[in-house]
Formats: sequence, C-alpha cells, structure tokens
Amino acid sequence: MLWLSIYLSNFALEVFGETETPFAVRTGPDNRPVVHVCNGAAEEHGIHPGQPLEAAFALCHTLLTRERDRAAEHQALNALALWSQQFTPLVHIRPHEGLMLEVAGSRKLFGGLAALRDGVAEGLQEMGYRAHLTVAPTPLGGWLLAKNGVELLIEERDRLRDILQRLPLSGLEVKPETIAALRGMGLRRVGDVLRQPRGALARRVGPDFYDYLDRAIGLRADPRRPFEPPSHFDGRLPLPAEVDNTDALLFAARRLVLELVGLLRAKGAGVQDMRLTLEHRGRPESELPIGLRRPSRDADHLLTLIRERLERFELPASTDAIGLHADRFPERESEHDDLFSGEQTGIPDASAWLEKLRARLGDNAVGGLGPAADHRPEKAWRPCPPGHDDNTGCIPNAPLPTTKPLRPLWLFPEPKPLEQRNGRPRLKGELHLIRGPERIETGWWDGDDAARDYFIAADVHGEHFWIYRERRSQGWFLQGVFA
Amino acid sequence: MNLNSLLTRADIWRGRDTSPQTTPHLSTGHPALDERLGGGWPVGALTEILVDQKGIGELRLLTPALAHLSRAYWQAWIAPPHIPYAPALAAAGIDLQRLVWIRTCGDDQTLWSLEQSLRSGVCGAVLGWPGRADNRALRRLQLAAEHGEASGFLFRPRQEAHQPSPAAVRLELELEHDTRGLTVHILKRRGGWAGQPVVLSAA
Repeated sequence: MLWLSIYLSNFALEVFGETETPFAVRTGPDNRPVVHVCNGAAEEHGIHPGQPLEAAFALCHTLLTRERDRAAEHQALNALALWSQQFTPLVHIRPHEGLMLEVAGSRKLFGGLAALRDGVAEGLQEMGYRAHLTVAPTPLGGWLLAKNGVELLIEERDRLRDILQRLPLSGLEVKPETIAALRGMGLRRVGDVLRQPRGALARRVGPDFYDYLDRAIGLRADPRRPFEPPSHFDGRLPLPAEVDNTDALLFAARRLVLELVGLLRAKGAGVQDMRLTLEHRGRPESELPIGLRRPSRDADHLLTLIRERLERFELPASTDAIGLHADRFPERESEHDDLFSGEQTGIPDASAWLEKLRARLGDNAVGGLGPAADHRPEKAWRPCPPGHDDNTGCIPNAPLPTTKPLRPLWLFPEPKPLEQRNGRPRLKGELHLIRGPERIETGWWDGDDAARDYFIAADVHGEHFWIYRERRSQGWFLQGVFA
Repeated sequence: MNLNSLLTRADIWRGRDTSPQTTPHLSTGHPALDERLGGGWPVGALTEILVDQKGIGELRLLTPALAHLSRAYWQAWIAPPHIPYAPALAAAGIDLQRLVWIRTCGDDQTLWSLEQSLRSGVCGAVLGWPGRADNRALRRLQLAAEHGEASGFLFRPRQEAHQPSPAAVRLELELEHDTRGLTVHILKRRGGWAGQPVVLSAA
C-alpha cells in the first residue's frame, strides 16, 4: 500500500473564505482570546499565533477576527474527502488536520505517483488550501513527515524508516509527558529510541508508544477506517467578513463548486439541481435553486450558472456564509439521446447557451414556438421549451392548418379594436382591403367561438396588416403584421 | 498594427476593393440581393437593417436564409416587437424546433442576450431589436458575431443611418410606392461599393 498524506497547514484559517485584509482566527476563553492563526496581511502588522487578541488589535485596529469554527472545519474536511475520492476510493480523515489517501491502486491511472501528487496539490491550491503532501508506504509515517513539513515521495519501507529515524521526538503526536520522559533519558530523535532495548523503555513510557512507532515504520499493520461518502453534498463556507456583492460571493462559491465537481468525478455522475444558500446574520437564509437542463460536472459551467443566478438575485442583507447543496447525482446522459446535442442531426449543443440565458433572464423569458392544431389564429401556436421537449403537449408534426392562406409573421397577443368610418376599418388613416375575406369559424365547442372574416389590408404607407371583422358585432380588429 | 490586420477589422471597409469574396456568406434567397452583397448575408458579422415601418416585408427579407439555417443551427429572436407567429414561420420553411424566442426587460438585457447568443457558437442567425445601442455596444456585438461565427441581424430605426456602425452590412428599407416592392438601399457592405438599390417584388 502507498499512502498520500495531506496535512492542511493552515486549515483553521482557510475554512473561512479568502480576504486581503488582516484577518485572524481566535481561540481561548472569551475574556482572554488569543490569535489561533492569522493570514499574511495580519502577519505584516506583526501579528502571530498565540498572541493575545488585545495585543493584536493594538498592532492593527482594523483586524477582522472570527472565532475558530470547528463545525466548519469538520464540514470542509468532509467536503475535501468527497473531493479527493476522484483520486482513490480509500480516503481517511484526520479530524481538523488533513487526509490520507491510499494511492497504490490509482497511481497508474493518473500517470504515476508524482503526477498524482501534483494533481492533488493543484486542486487544493485552486480551492485555496495550503498543504504538505507526502507519499509513504505507511499512513502514519507519511503523515508524520507531512505534518513536520517534509514533502517526499517514498516507496520503500527501508527508506521511510531511515528518514523517520531523523525525526525529532517533538514531531510525534504523543503525550508531552512521554516526550519529556524520553528527553530525560537523553533521547532526541526517533532513531535514538529505536536503538534502545525495547523491554526497559516500554516499561517507562508504556507499550502504546512502541505500538505507535511500529505503525509508523510499518512493522505493525495500521488499518484505516475509510471515509464513507454521504449520499448528498453539503458544502458551506463561512466568510471572513460580511459580503454584499456578487463578485465576492462568486469567489467563495468557487471552492464549493470545485469540491462538488471532485465528488461528481468520483461518482462518475453529474449534477442537475443545486441549491445555493446565503446566510445572513439575524435573518432567514436565502435559498437559490439552480436547475440544469442536463447533468453536468463542468466547474466553469456551474459557476457561470451561479453567477447568472446571483446577478439576478437581490441580496436582502449582507452575507456571512455561503453554502452549496446537491443531493441527486444523475448519470450524465449519453450524448446521442440528448435533445440539445443533436448528435444525430449535427445540430450544435445549445444547452449551455440556453442555461445561461435562463439563469439571467428567468425561465419564462426563453422559449420556443410550436404550431398547434387549431384554426383560431391566436391558438394556432403555443409556447414550448426550445427544442420541443416531448412532454409539453406540442405537436411538432401536426399538420399546419395554415400553410395555404397567407399568415403574418407578427401576431399581436390580443386583437386590437380598430376605428371605423362608414363600416370601413381605419388605422391612422383608411385601410385598403387587399385580399379576403377568409372566413374562420371555429371554437364553438369550448365556448370560445370565433366567426370572423379575415383580410389583408394596407395603410397609406403600404404597410400590410392582418385584420378581421367579427361577424356578429361587425367590429374590426387588428391581429397581425405582414412584416 | 499592420495594414493587413487593420483591413480585416470589421469597422474598416474598402470601397474600391472588388476582389473575390473570401469571407463566408449565406445566400439571402434573393439572387439580385446576393449579387449586390457579394454572395449574401455575411457570416460572423452584423447586418443592420434600418427600417421605420413595420409590415413592409422586412422579415420576409430574411426568411429564406432563416429557413435554410434552421436545418443545421439554432436561431435566436431577441426582444421582437410582437409575437413571432409560428404558422407563418413554419409556412416559410423555418424549423420551429430550432428557434428560440427571448424576451427581455430593458436594453441592457437585450444587448446582453444578443452578445451571448452571437458568441455562443450554436446560433446560425441572431435577430435582435435593440432599443438603444451605441457604437461601443455594436462593436461588442460585432466581435461576438465574429467569435461565434453567427450572422447577426439588428433591426433599427432609419435615423441611425447617420451614425457610424461597425456592422459589415447596413441596409435601409423602403417601400416602393408604385409596385409595392421592397427597396433595399445598401448603405455599406464589405469589399465593395453597393451601387444601385435592389427592388424586391412583393410576395
């Protein structure tokens, strides 16, 4: 087995979105909080971890701070574990600190260990995480090296043992008393301990300590409980400061989208419905559903949809955390049964374009047209989804009742009553009847009957209109334009 | 910027150049007009149709090309002044399944939709009725049309004829009073002077 250990060196800070202003995560009791970790901008003011918060404020009075958010860390690490399943099915979580990935099985798939490691590193960087990555034959050995900042690709157990021997005892994750006791015996490094006779030392520091070392160097099996992915995706990102503009929200959403896409890759699936949630202090959260025409796992496309959705949304208040949720991961349709890709017909795939339009303009603003088998002109067409989804009741192949008589290219939503003089219709002047009448008498069966005589009429400028006279009332109406 | 790159810019055209057309064109379906336009409607560029009246055949001018395009591409109708009437479109041979009707609120949405559609690469033709569009906005649309290799058709009032425009072709439409034919004045085209107006007979 080979394990890629990922130690997230700045995790408590990075679970909050990025900010360029001085920012620190605080811990400790409420009356004496200290800086747990801070960003580079804060460091430039001389702020450092462990410092009382009061002192930090004295150095920089505009310092933003947030209480350490262990729940957010838990959630973010889960999301990262989901994301990393695109590299291997066996992922183990080190709570609040990092991940271990078993990569022996997948190294070939990614073009070797180094390429795999680089792929993970790039992905983490893209999401805004700093990490130390080490590959080693044991999970604990590699983890200890990564945690101590030693980034290596180690495939042989002997080499791992050599390197671990040089690790200072303070780099181990054991009780401080144990380290103190060993130091008291003049031992400084792991190698010093390994050279001692086991029996005597085990009595001093307890058998668990040797057990621990044996797992690190591979003398003892070290099974790791695999992370079991939940059936849904719930990403959440608390923001360092309240945000009230779309760009900043989008920036934060990016990480969540990348995490989701990692999960989708692992599942070999796509996402078709997402929910974006915006948390506002002291107000109910905003929920923005985002639907796709067909499943996708293209991060740029998903982000575009989120951008369009956000730009169309009026924030009720500033936002201090953002979430992304999805719970259905349909398989991506094979291309040729997809209406929009038009594999059979050579029609280009319009889904990305249509989704973008819909996200910005609203679902109802983007539609298609279909003919309808009805002789009443205003009912001889109906709105359809573009491309005519088959379940909309459109009859694309219905015989067109109107191929013979001339029909106008523009139709008015409602017929407009026309003035008349001496029984002749007028529209800013007299209208000349050019062609007609064409009698249309239908619709009595649903109580919406039409008995009309249609004419093509021209005004003095030569513009052509479609007008009719209602037979019962003898009133004239304008219904279309021959454009 | 060298001369050659300058000459390929959409907003620069050479009056005297009568060299054979190398840019792709789409037949208008009206042979006389094709001849005057050097092959037909430009592809990957804007065509402006300046017209004040409605109902003089301004859409019929396009329907042959739209019918042809609808077999292989999508087409967008953006912010039309009325409902595009399906039976008449179908009768003109346009495949309704490939037509997308986009309703917008305000000029910003209209221009945005035009740009997205022209740029999408999936639209053969994009028809738009922008309320207000300055030269800068038109330039963006022209670039989008180049990028998406779409034919963009903008319907605008005739008073715009006096404003400069990056469109590759500018037409002004008028009704011929005697014959009821449609007079097409070619104000601008790529690669040549337009010469005499074309009169298309009434359908």
